[in-house]
Amino acid sequence: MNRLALSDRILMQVDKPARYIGNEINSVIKNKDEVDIRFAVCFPDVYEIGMSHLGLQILYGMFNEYEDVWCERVFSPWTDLDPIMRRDNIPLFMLESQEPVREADFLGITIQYEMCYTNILQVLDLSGIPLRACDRGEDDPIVIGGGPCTYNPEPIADFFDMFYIGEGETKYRELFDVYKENKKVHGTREDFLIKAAGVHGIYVPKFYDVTYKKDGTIESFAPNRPGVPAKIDKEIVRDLSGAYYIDKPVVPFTKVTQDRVVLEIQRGCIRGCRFCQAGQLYRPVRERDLDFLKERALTLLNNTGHEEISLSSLSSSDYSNLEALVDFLIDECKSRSVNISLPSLRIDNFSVDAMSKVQDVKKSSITFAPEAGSQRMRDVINKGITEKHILRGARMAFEAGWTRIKLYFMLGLPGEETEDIEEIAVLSDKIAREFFDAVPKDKRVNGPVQIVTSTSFFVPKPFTAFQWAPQDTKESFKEKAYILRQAVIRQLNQKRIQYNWHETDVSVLEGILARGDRKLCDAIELAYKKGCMYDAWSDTYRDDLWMESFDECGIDISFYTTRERSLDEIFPWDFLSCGVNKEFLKAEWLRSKEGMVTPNCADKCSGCGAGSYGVGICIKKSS
Amino acid sequence: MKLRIKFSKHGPVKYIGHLDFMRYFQKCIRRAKVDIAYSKGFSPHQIMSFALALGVGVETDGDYLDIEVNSMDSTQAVMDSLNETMADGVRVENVVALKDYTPNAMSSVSAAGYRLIPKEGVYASDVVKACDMVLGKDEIIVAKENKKAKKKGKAVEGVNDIIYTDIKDHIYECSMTENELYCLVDASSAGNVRPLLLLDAIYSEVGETLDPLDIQVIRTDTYTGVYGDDRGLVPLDMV
Repeated sequence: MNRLALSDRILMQVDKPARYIGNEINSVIKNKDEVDIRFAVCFPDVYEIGMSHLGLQILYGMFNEYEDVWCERVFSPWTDLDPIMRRDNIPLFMLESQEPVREADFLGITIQYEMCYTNILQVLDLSGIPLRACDRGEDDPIVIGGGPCTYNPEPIADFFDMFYIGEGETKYRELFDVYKENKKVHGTREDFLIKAAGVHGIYVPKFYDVTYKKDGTIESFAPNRPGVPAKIDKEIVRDLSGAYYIDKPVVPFTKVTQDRVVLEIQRGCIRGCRFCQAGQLYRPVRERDLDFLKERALTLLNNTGHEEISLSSLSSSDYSNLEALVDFLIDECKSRSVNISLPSLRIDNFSVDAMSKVQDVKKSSITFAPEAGSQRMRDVINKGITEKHILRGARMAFEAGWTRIKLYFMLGLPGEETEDIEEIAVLSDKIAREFFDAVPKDKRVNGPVQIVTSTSFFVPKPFTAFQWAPQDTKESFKEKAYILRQAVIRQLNQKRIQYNWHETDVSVLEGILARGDRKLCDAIELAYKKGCMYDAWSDTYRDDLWMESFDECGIDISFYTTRERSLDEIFPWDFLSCGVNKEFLKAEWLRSKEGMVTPNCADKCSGCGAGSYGVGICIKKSS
Repeated sequence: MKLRIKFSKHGPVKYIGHLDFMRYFQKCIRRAKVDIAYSKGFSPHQIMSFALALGVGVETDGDYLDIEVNSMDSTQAVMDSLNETMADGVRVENVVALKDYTPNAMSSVSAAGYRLIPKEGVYASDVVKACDMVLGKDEIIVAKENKKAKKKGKAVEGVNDIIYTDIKDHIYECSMTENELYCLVDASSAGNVRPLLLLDAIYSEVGETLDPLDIQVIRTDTYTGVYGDDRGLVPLDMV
């Protein structure tokens, strides 16, 4: 394969041309005449981001193990290449064969964040695939979406032929067989969609109709033809150690964001933080066997040559065999000169000890995510930690030699008062004081303490206890950031505290899209046509064009953001199920208003509904 | 034990830039299980150094890097295991064990050979004729962007943004046909000549403008030694 989709002249003119050439180590080339199904798997962002995504590598590896399937990768062309492809009418291509995406039977798009929606349209547009599913013909690929954002697929429902709800490992084989069977009997695209709608976890938007009340909320949401399920339940991997996991991931030529072996140790999270969508979507928590992980860590290091390995999970400290795994990795990696990265660890004796073995305390920092400054707010969000935990953790880190502490908080949480915001500054200061108390003057060899306090703005998400909550306005976000900045300045150790806050505009847009409905499809398409793309990148984000688009489509953004939903409102995503039921979330929402905490899954089952899958921690408890 | 690795790079992999290619090679060495030596500390890195950087888009028949290994079966075994894990277009052409005290590849580079081939068609006949005219001159002045000043933000247009240098003494061999220009030029850190600048001078001689994107540059080999000396120039793997 030496023929590239882009000419030498174009490749020499664009930034990082190696993004577009394919041919990386472990990429898979098949003979297209010897497969029945060609699947283009797409991450709608730039190559370096897309190639850092574990889910894409899992699907790629799994599909290519099927003899009758050839899976190839597609990413968003960067902003320098995009206009050139439009100018020269170059169709978007798959990296492996360098052939147009339109040659594929399926275009599978993983949707990891709301801010990539315009890039989905870019990918469709450059591929020459009609943006709207209803305009597609027999020769167009079946466009299928997956990933966390499909738990509210409605704002992008018109652009997809179908969505796969839940974990990808389980149902694609069945879907492919249905596709092949339909081809064999010369069935149409419509025939296939009808059959696919009968596969568990598959949502075909066109088979559902929505009606709205006068106030804009949903009156009814129901199938418009027989044989289509009214409620779509997510797909879930029952035995993670028995499920497919990568052994030969593609190794990019260019430096990507996640340039390392990623070992997913468990899926799901026992913690029930009320703002966290992932914590609900992936319930119940399921662990991978220690032996499986040990074997796979070595295989992956051997097959990639990566110089770093990282553990992946929502909360690594909750993995029951963490100590044994980390000890094993420290042993093995030392002899191979491989670095270990241990993200999302709770700070305790074990983790401080482990981290001081794998990191240079002088250069690295320790991260805490208290999420809220006051104990009252931490109870509201059910964070499950106290100030004592945080200060004790910080002290351990200081005693082990670290001086740099990063703190993550959210502003705009439901029920937040000025005092709660100011408490963020007070807590940052207390941590600084802890340093001066814990480390005597003559021991401060690594310099004085540095606290980096960052805040993001809270965006309510579907399938969380806060899905009913009003989101703050842009003005309120700015004011809160200002209050906190002033509060930081008033602290004794203010010179040791650096305060950063996130952009406000993007948080508002994220809020609109996250809890949006089908009425937003037009506005998203308009925003794209006005030039919005790469909205997740601050350099390319165009808030003015977005607001113009909502305006022209008659969309009142406050309907989606600042409005408090009533308890009996039908949400656009209510027809989906992630196991955790609405009654449980409702109870959690009400408990949050009282500041009542709910125990985590390991301490006590609270009956969220995910127990119905009969897997993971849910059955561990009862046995 | 120090090893010198000669490699070639052709086809689409030419779009991988130098820093990325170094990282690519480090991963190859791990996959091939070459027992390379690492630096000490928290983030150990492989003891490895490339002779010359290779620009994006440039192909090579002979580039080099030095590595240090703790052990090996044979240089042939190292070469075979590396070639088993190379991407299409990259080949390890030779692996030699270096004697102690051999200067490292980077500091010993003195010259490099290049072929400059039009990507489409051939060179115009007046350009080919101009080659000898340019070579016959007392000096060959080329203009280079003043990267140092630009980086520091101290470049002033028309004052110091362009540096003019005479490359005449740094061109050791040069010949041109309508199909290609071959040149052997200084590649030392002090007097490195970019071959496209030479071609640009030839184009200028006949009032033509060179579009560098029209030309495929292939480095043919990298040399050490002194041109015109008793031993003359020797490829880096023949030291």
